[in-house]
Amino acid sequence: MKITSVPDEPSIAELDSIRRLAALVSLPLMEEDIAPLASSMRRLVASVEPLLAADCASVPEPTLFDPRR
Amino acid sequence: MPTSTPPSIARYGDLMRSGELTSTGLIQSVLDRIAETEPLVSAYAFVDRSGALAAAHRADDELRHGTDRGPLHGIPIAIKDVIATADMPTLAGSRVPLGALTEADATVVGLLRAAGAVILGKHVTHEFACGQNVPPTRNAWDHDCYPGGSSAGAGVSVAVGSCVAAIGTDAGGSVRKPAALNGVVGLKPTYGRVSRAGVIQPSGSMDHVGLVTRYVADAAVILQAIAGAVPGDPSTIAEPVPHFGAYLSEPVAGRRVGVVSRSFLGGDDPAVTAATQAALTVLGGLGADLIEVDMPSLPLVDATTTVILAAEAGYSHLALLRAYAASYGPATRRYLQLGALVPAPFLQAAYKARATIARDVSHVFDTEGVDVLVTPTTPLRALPLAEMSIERDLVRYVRHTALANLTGRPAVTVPCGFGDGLPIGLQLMGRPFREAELLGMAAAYEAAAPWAAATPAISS
Repeated sequence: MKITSVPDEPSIAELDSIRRLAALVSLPLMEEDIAPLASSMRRLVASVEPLLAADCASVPEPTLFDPRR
Repeated sequence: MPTSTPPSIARYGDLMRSGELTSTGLIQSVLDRIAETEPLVSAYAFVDRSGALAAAHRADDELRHGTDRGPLHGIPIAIKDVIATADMPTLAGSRVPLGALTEADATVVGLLRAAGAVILGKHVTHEFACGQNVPPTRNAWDHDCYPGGSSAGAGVSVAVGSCVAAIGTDAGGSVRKPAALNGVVGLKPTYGRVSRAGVIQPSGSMDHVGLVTRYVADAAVILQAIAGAVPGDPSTIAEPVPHFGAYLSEPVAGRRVGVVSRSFLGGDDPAVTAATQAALTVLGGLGADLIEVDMPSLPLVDATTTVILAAEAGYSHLALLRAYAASYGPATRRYLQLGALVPAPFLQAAYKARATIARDVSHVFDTEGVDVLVTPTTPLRALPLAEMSIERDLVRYVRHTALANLTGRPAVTVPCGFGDGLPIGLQLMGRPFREAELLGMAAAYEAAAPWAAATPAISS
């Protein structure tokens, strides 16, 4: 019984991007994490496309989150 | 399969006040049940046997001497292991050292103790409530299946009777999902209704303290004890605290029930679809008006939830990741690292999408006059752990529940049936700070359906 997660094979450029991003926020990465992270970032980028395409920019957003608004 | 139905909190109280039961006797029987069930379901991270018995003795002494702290006096409640307790360890399901974060009681724990509850121990959580790892906890109805999470121990423990009620946390469905998958009641109150002080939370804008109980009326009793603004506590919102049991016996005839369109519901599991349809028939039979509703922004829910949860969790763990990366489980560490690297435009797009979703949901309530919004709690039943994929299944599992986290609205799950022996939950979502009405609708369904009586046959 094991919850499985099968990462896709990331490109060299994707691996480099993850290293650079992590360095920017002083986030130390273990070598074994870089490829899975790059694959996850690829999936995140794909999943966020509908948000970027939804054109919600003009929607008023509360300055502080409050469920009553 | 179903065995005898356990008493409600009110019934336990009646038995204690009439002298037919003591808190000590109740606690001892629950400790016996823990000993019987834990080898099979692993719901507890820590059991405070001596502390619970000592608290029960004090509760009995108080009652004997005329001090009655109310409905929770002497009632055993367990706490998710991300909520701090001064007298027992809080590890958040992790090897990462948490230090002073967990040394004092969380506000919610203090309120429960003041109300007379006996804190039994700590329930298993997925590491830091992120849902990425595999804890030892097993589903109450099928030990080869997913127990839900991240309040995994809470859902399982209430189902098998190794506590009377449980306090959990819910950032995307982490109370309602395990409650639904184990056939019990789970409530996420309105954002700001219950203090999160002393709670290790992955996502500040999505996370809530919630509760798991056997019955809807029990949820009202516990919420009464823990709800309300705390001076100086920015995690609470100053709203009047009503009597949460006020609507528990109210008829629902004429109430408007919004049924979310099929395109969002997905139809992943025919048994879930059939049970939901049957539940709607019950509500219709009680006189509720069923109205199909659609919200154009619902297709954005999955991505919005994913981005906000990951980014907020990643940021909140940044300092710990820098210091103790190797102490995290690999799956949790990578999830949090990913969150810490989410580009700002993605997060801002998600916040804007959330505002859009909240606007659409408000429209349904405020313009179409809906009183509650109904969905299946989870689109599918508990999957066999051997067949489960986090990448594929986690977002699917929280699709319906996360809508209430994104909007901050209260939501409750009640059992609504079974498919091949696995429980199915019905989620009802309400207006902000109107938990009393929401619980009233849930109680009306619970009373009209046979599922509250179902308990798993489990013995070692």
